[in-house]
Amino acid sequence: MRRTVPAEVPDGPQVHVGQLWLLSEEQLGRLLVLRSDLAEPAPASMAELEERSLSLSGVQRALMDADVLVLQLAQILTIIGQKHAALTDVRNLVGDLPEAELQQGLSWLEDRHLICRLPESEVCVHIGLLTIANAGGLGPPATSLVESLSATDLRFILKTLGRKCGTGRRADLADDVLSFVTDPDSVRSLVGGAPDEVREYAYRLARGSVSIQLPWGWASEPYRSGPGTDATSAPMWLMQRGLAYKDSMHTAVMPTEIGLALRGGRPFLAASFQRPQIAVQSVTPPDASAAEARVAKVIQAAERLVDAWGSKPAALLKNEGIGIREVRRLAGAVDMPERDTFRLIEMVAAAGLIVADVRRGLAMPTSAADEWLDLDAADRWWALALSWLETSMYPSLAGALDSSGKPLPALGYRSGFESKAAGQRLCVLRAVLELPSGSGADHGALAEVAVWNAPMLWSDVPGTPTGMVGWTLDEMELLGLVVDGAPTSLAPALIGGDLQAARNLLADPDARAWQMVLQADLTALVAGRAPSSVRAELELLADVEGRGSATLYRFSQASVRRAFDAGRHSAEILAFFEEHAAKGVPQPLAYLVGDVDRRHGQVRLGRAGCYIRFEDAALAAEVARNKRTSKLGLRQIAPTVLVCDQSNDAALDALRAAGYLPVVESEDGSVVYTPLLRHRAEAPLAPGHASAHPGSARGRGSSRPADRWRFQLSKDGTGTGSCSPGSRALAATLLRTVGESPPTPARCEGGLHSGPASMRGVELPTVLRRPTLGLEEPVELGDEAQLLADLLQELDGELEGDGMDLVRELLGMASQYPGGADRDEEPDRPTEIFRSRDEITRLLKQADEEEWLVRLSYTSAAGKSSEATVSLLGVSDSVVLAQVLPRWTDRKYLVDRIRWVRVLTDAEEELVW
Amino acid sequence: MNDYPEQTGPAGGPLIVQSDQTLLLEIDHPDAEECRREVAAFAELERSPEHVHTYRITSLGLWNARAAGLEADQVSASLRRWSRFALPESLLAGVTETMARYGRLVLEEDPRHGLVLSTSDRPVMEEIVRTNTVVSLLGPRIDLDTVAVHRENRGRLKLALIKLGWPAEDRAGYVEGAAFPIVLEEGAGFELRPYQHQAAAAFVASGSGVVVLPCGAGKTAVAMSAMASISSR
Repeated sequence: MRRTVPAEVPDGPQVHVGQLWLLSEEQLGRLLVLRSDLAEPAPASMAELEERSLSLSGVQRALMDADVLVLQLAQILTIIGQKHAALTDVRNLVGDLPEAELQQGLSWLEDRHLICRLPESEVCVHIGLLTIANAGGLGPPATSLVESLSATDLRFILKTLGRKCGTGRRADLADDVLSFVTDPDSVRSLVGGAPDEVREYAYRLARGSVSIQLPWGWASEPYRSGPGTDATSAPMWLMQRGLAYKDSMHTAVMPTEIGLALRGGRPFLAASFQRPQIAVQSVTPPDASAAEARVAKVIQAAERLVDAWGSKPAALLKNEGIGIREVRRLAGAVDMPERDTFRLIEMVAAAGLIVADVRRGLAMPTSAADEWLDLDAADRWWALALSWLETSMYPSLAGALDSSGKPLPALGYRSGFESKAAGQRLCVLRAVLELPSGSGADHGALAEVAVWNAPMLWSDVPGTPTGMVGWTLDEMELLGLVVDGAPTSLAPALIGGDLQAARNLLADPDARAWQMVLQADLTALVAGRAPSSVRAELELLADVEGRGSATLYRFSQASVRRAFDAGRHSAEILAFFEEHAAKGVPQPLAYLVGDVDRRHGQVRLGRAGCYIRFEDAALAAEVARNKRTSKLGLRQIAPTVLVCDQSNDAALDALRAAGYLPVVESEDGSVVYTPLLRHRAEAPLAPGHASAHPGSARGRGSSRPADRWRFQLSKDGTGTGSCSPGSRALAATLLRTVGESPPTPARCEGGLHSGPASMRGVELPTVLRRPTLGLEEPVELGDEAQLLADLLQELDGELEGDGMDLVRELLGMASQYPGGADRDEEPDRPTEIFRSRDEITRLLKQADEEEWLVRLSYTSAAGKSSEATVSLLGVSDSVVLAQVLPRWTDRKYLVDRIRWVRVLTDAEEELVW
Repeated sequence: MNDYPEQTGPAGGPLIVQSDQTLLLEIDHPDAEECRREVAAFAELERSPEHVHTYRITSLGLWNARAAGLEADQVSASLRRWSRFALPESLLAGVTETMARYGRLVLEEDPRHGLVLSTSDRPVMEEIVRTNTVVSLLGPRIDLDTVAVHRENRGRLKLALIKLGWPAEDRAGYVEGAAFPIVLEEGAGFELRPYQHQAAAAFVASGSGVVVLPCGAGKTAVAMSAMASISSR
């Protein structure tokens, strides 16, 4: 909304503070520059702008960079306490301040529209300025305090002071009290005559502790008690004599006038309008190369930081921020001490080149970093330095030790006490620039100047001003703004926002000079600053071996493969080399690329749920095209092989549904047969029985509930339910035979050959099959055979090799015993074991003719003995061709190496089939 | 791809000094030969492909340079002189620090005690007499700054001290022998090849070094030439 300025109101003294709409465009523009906070965010109307300028916070912000002189002037105006203050009053209070400086200070305030000068040697004071509490440590003016007292209270005070009460009207009483309070001499004489304790207290109050804490119970009027009561208490003594007044339930204050009187009329106890004289030390002025070296170092360090975190982002601590371990790791890479590395991280983050991604718990470069990397050195420095100047964080706070002695993390969350950081930084930078050329100053002296220049900036900060100045100077050293305490030419360029000056200072004709040399030992050397696209391509093609002014890359098969994996082609890579290699492409490197190109992708792999293999390609093509199998998503990876992402079972069902007859292959390529599944469980042991004979195999044999009827049924219902004595004797004999010691083959053979006498009387069932031993087959057994089976089961775990064979032989022999009902018509199978060469040849030939399976023991060329059950394919005098069971693999045996041979019994053979 | 800044040839010096203690020497540079001669005195050649040779600054190399009379300032000056880019500060500091370690311990002949190890820096002596690997090679302590050394342990002690980082300066010297005159008779059907001349000259100039040549290239001839130039001095 535009307001028309009345034509008859000229600019200047007539404009009162707050009436911004009366300012000229130029004046308003200047104001908005000086008090930038008024314009941010842009106010909607002039009324809003006025409101902002009048607010307490607006005034405080305006005074933030006021120096001590201006602040003291502002406080003097507050002490005068009137909207229109006479300049003479001001002059009285400023003492010996030169007129020029007074005018300068007033102009400062006027420029910021905090006061207006009126023609009659008066100033019009901004109402906000008057509301600044605690002007110079003095309380509020007496007028306002006296007004709050009743006539009775005033009368009490006057009585205590020993003065007449006059007419007794309240206004007169108040005037009487005020006339006392505003008379410095009488105040001083009264306090001078007070008891020591009270006098001391009063002076202490006057020095600056404004409010008096009243004890509980004092809420009742101090003026009601009789004169002299409680006079020993200093606050009471002062209040009863009008030297202090209650300003809230529990506090009292000393009025400005009393404080001023007790300070001897000077508004400031240690009044110093004098700028502190800085003690300078002479230092060698930094030469341009020193600044350049710093700049080069910080830029390089920032680049390496971006590189390092770009290839491997830094892990954030649990409570955010980059911890000391990560910083230590980085310090090596950027070649800086840890403390500076912390600062560097903060500065690079302030420039927006890296960011902490709290959600992923990682810190990494931003896309702005790529842009930054392509800038010229001067511009890269400018980005870092300007961001540093303007950041509202203390970069040096990261890495500073906390109360428990641990360094604070970088990029960590820090509460908002850093709002003054940017202002302080500027303040220090200015203080450094004020130093005469060729001189430096210690941190304490600089801090004194900085604090004098803007005292409000240095209150409520995390450290002492000296410490903070130290931080800022360290940061400036890092950035090359200061070298060994003396400012470089970069500092004024930065503070003046003069980018061109910085560019001129940092201009390096070789800044963008670079060279890439490829060498036959498969290394690439890039000297200087290659464009980021070249560096990115090289980092893809090769591994970085060394960094510094030059970067050394090494090519390897793996690194070149990485480029091929990223979609590069051989021609593309060679073209890149040809374009940029200053001294040509060495042959080994070209060969390496060619070699990788040739081999890349020769072996391919993919993920599949299952494969489907076909005998012929036509069927594969048909299945692939079949609509009914389309839901399997079949892919043809070879003429006879399809793959799909679904499981075996799903594919099997779908193929069967489509009318094919697929079988499942096991891992070794054999067909997996799936018997019809019936669920069966092993019956538990009968209770009590097992515990009676815990180790007994025979006890266990009949310990299951079903065993009893199984046994009886096998005896055709005539059995007595127990073994015959004869069979027990046989078992005992057998156990003794095998249990003595592992029998040698010769002993076993001898035993079998003759046949133990006790075997002759054994009645055996017609069909004897080898008991279970892992084969799920129906078992028809007589009780003796059952006994043997039990025995075999028991021995199975205990005996190995020949001992077991003995029992198997026994079983085999038993089946050969004449008297069986179902005798085979073929010639008798020999039961002996043959060891001589002739016998072996003869037996093998016979077995070949009769198609018997034989078991033989063979010593390999390596001297290793083994036994095998074989089906013969052909027998000559020296060589035997046979298929080895159970896999039916073909094998050739030399007759000379066969140790012994025997023919398998019918029963054994049946087991095999 | 035409927006790339032009690549330039070797502007500035032939040497690139990296902060990882390596020196990259561009051998096509006009100053490369002179630079190589200076650098070889304190750095070890690591790789020598066709365009850029890599030298490495090692402690041993720096100590050898010190033994040959080179000071840290001279090393820094050479690096400054030939370096194409600003030198890494940490590297120069490291060079100075390492070279300052040489000579704190001195092996010398004492008229009364024979071979002794003495020091100008007492803490160093305290450190070494507390180190197991060294103390077994030392004799009795003569005073706070001196310790006797068994003559037969001279070589082993020097190696152990190098390992420890405190190389001893050997001033005990060797027995003077009679000079053996060697003259290389060039001309009559025998002539050194140019690279053999170079190798022999470099060897003699630096006083030490390793000559690397392929089989049949004439290493023996180089050695003969080196011996001849030493004996003619």
